[in-house]
Amino acid sequence: MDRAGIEKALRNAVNLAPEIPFDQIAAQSFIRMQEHDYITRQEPIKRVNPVRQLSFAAAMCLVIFLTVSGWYVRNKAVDSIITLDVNPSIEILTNRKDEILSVKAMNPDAQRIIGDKDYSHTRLNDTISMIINSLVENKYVNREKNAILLTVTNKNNRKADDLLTDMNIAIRDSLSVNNIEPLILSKTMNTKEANDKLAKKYDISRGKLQLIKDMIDFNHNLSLGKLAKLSVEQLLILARENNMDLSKYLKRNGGEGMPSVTEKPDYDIEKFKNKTSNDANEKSERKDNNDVKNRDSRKELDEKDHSKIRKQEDRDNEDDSKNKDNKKEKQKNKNKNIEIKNAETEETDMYSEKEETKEADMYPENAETNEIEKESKDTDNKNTLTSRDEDNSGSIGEDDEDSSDSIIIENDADGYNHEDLEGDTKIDQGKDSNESDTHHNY
Amino acid sequence: MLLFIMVTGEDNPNPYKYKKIEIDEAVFHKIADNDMEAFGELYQITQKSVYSFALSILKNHEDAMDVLQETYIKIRGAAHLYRPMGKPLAWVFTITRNLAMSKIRTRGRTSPIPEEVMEDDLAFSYVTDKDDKLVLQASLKILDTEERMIILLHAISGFKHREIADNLGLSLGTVLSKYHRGLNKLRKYLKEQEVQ
Repeated sequence: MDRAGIEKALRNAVNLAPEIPFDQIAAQSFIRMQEHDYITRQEPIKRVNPVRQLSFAAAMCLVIFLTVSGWYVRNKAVDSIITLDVNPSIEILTNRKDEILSVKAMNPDAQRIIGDKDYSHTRLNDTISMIINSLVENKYVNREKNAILLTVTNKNNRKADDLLTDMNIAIRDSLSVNNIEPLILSKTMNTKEANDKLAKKYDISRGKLQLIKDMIDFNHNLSLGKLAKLSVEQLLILARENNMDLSKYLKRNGGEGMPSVTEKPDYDIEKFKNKTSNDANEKSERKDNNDVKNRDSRKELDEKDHSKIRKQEDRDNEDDSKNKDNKKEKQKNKNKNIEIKNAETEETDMYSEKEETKEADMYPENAETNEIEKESKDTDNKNTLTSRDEDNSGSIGEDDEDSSDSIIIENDADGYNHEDLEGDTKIDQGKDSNESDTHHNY
Repeated sequence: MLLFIMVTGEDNPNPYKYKKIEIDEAVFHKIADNDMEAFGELYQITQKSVYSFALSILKNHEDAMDVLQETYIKIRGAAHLYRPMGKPLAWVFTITRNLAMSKIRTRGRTSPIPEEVMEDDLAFSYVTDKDDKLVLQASLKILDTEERMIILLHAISGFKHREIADNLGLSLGTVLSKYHRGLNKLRKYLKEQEVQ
């Protein structure tokens, strides 16, 4: 039986019930009441106030919204952004409880490190340890290559600072297993400093971008596009060579139990200084030799072209006997430096080959000096430039074809090639006024 | 005309169309002035609703008839005390409910009527149709008081759920849920009893 059938049956049944005639009701005696009793009292009718009802609904919506948003802020909203750079650039997003929300690879190297691992809902320290171990396994970090850039972005500067300290400790703990003493460049950042759009353009993290911006502030001739392709270690070498003050990045490296960068530099600054002075002399001696100085054009030459150039160099050198004498003296000095380099400690050995390459990359003038040096020693002149190019491409990075290009753009009128890379961005010097970290314990 | 009935579908011969009950609150002042015509009209309009309401509480025809009679005597005695509040029928139902509860307390009928008593109850002998009688008895047997009130008022007096909610002081959501729950109970019970 359906609803209508039930109602019909009830209606039929009740309608058949005998009724009391109205006359009988009317004939009943009644007492005119003086006041209501409990039977007849009129109960106040509950009137629903629409305003009150709306207010209640709005309050309920607000409570639900606050509950949901509170849960979201605690669990799903990004609270801290941690960047870890060696050459791989990795960005770690955490929630307010320092649980991992996501781990992003900012470049192909980082993708190799992260792989397909799911880091979500793991603790930050564990994730850092896993990433550091992976960096060591993939030989991005070892005893020689120990520079790591670490930045933390958080609205709360105090929390960012605490987190940065924790991450420093976590990295050192992870690397201590492999007897690696890292050189950690660490810095807190505020959200105003972050320029993720620019960082994404160059496939680097916001932390590395900040470091590069700081370096460019010291030397406006540096090119963002070129620096973005260098590893943190290479950036550090360049910074030391240019006497850039990166003390704010090295605060935590000068603490107890940590190697003091000031007392024991990880890189031979003097070596770069010598190179700089040699470069200056070389520049003055070879002002009229523009073809040789341009490495990009030289890369495109075949071996015949190279030999022609070298012949031209020889002719020029013969014409200028004084300059040649000076060159020989400097070559001797250079040889001495090379010998000293070979005798240097393990640390110096590590850099000897690489820095030679970097030297060539960063200073085409130096490269040429070495080249001339090689020419004088090497009987097979034709192979010299080819082998050097191969070395360069291998030392800076296998995916970096332009790594052998000059990083410093000379602004003097010496005839050197001024790089004007497409997409390079000059950084405004005034942009860094918002720095949150004021550590200067270098 | 103090009391009027707006008949919806008056020209419609469909016997299942309900008459919408509308009572002018001034009727009580007329009754207080001993206007028997007004009292008579009120009685004719509301007696079935009052009876079914009393029956839903008392679950007994005789007691419901007693309460019906007492309700109109009370209305006559207290009509001059009535304060217009926009819901005249709600006052009538309030008197009916209070009288019914008073009768239950007086007779000690706090527990449902046993099933065997229901089956032998001759009070519903006036219902000739077996199925109709079974449905009525089932509603008294398996539904709780509020479910029964709502279903009977909706089925017999044609009150809309909103009107039932207003007159019984319940929320519309409560009325709707109890109505559907009660109907489902009845449907299930009647299906078990193989009532078509």
